[in-house]
Amino acid sequence: MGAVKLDGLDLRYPDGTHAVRDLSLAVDDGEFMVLLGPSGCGKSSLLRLVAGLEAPGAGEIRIGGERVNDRPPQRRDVAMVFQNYALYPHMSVRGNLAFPLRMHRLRRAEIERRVDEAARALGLGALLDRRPAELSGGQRQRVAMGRAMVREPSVFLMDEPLSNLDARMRMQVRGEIAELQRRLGTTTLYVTHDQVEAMSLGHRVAVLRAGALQQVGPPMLLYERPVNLFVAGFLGAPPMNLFRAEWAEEGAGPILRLGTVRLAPPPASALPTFAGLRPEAFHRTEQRPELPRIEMRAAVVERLGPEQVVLFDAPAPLLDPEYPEAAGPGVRRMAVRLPADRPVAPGERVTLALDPARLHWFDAAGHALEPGAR
Amino acid sequence: MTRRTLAALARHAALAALAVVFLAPVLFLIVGGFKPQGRILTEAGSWRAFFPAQVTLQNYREVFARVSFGHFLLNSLLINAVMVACGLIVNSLAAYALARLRWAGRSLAMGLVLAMLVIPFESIAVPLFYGLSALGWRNDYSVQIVPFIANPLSIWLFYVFFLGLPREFEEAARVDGAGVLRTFFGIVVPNARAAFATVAIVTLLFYWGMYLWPLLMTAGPRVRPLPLAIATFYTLPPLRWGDILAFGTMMVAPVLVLFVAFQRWFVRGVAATGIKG
Repeated sequence: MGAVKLDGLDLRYPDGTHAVRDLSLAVDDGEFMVLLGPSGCGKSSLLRLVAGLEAPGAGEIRIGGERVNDRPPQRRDVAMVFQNYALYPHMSVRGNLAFPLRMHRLRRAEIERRVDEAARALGLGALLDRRPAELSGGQRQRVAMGRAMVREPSVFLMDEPLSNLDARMRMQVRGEIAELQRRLGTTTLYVTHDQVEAMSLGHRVAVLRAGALQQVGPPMLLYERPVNLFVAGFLGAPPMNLFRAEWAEEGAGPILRLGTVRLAPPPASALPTFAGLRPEAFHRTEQRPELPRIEMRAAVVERLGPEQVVLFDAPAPLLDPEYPEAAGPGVRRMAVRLPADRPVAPGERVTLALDPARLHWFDAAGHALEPGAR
Repeated sequence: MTRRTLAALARHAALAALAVVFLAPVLFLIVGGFKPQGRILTEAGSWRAFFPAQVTLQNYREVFARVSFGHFLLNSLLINAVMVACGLIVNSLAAYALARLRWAGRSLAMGLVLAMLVIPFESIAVPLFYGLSALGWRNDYSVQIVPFIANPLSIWLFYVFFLGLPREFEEAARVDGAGVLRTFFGIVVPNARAAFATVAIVTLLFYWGMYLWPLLMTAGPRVRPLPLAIATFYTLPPLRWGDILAFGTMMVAPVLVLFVAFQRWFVRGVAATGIKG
């Protein structure tokens, strides 16, 4: 009943911004779909289209199988959590939670029952008579969630609901949202620019860029099989190390070269223009003695408890992961994830083993090439 | 004494001087009303104008003897209360439509509202006079109320304030199930109290002393407001300044009381709408 189907959606704002371009996406009933992308990629606009706060220039929006293009927001059976929560400042927490129910003319007893239930589920019982101004950020966030929940809508729309919380709170509430969605089983569209949120919350993740859909799929699939340079560079922290492929000619054919190291032959299908390596494609030499080795100088070391992220001086210039097709110097540091047992010091020269099986290949247009076949 | 305290002193002295300039006429009005008739003009040129050596209520007694003050006050209160109340509803709705709804002709309508801001009332008084006389509205309360309900200044003040309200509240209300009118009355109005207080006071200050229009449109004391009653003291001898000052004090008092009561909101509203003076 809560499936959302977007077909060929297009949105252009009066100022000329082309926010959403010919976008089609199907969200199953009960699915948690995360819309992920950098700021200005059109993900919030897409959410507003589904909510009915914007009208598409072209395309169709279906909720629960019914076309809702011409319905105002109040008749779409969706509930929305706003980035700044948009709690009504002149109403108590109770008033905020009851407002959507009053608007839908529920009986007073039913309103009270549902408000109490939501308050209990979200731990808001002691705060019911407070005004939003008297609540902490986390409490406000929960009231906003509660206001969306009480309606029991067929679709939740969440627009960066965690972006105003501090890191600790964000992690806690992230868990709560995931649990709540699992329990209620309500179809959810969740907008974020934070790929950690996307990876941890989404059943599937849709990556957007400049209003266009790049790739949709389960988080791990997107991480392991990005369809293009942008998705490869956007998912992962630190992001994938992307570089222009340089080929060394040998008897058996071309071999990918990174600095002075010869890594691997190209895939059978084509000669790639770009290649990428995740930070975890590197190992200690004694763990994988059979792999090709590369020596680099450590520039920056971030110790993160069980692991360390080391930024090495790259043996060849890397692409800027956010604008991979842009010409220019790009990034000079190669990110590598290593266990923390043997700390690397800045300035130290380290020899690492590099797993060619984990190379990602891309053609000149930035599209991923099938790996594997050598 | 440091240079900073000197500068602060100079600033405060300048402000105090300005305050005296603005407050002196008001003080003269109030004090003069309590003075015996003979002293008002003789003391007018000295500091004694602001300090009653001798307090009397004689002037007030005479005001009540010469005109039916209560009757005129009720007229003024009725006219202004209805005008302000209707004006708040009509102008805020118009401003909301201009600020938030999308409709053809919106910018044209906004342009007309702004154009009307610069048209002085005196220039349309005559056509209004003929038009409303043809409708047979003369000598009535309605003719003193209806033409002033829709007010471009009020619309503009509301418009600016609504533009400054975060859109998310209204969008949340729409998604929560409220239509346009319920969003307006349930969400926008309660968060725009400062704007409503500002517009109410600005309108009241402007129309409480209205003289020309009721003089044109009404005859006899039945529906006339306070400002016309004061004419009695100029036109019917004896000309007694004490009576005029006492009457003036009583005429200003209601507006002053309201202003002080709502001052906090008013100041906030002015700050939010960005209007000056």
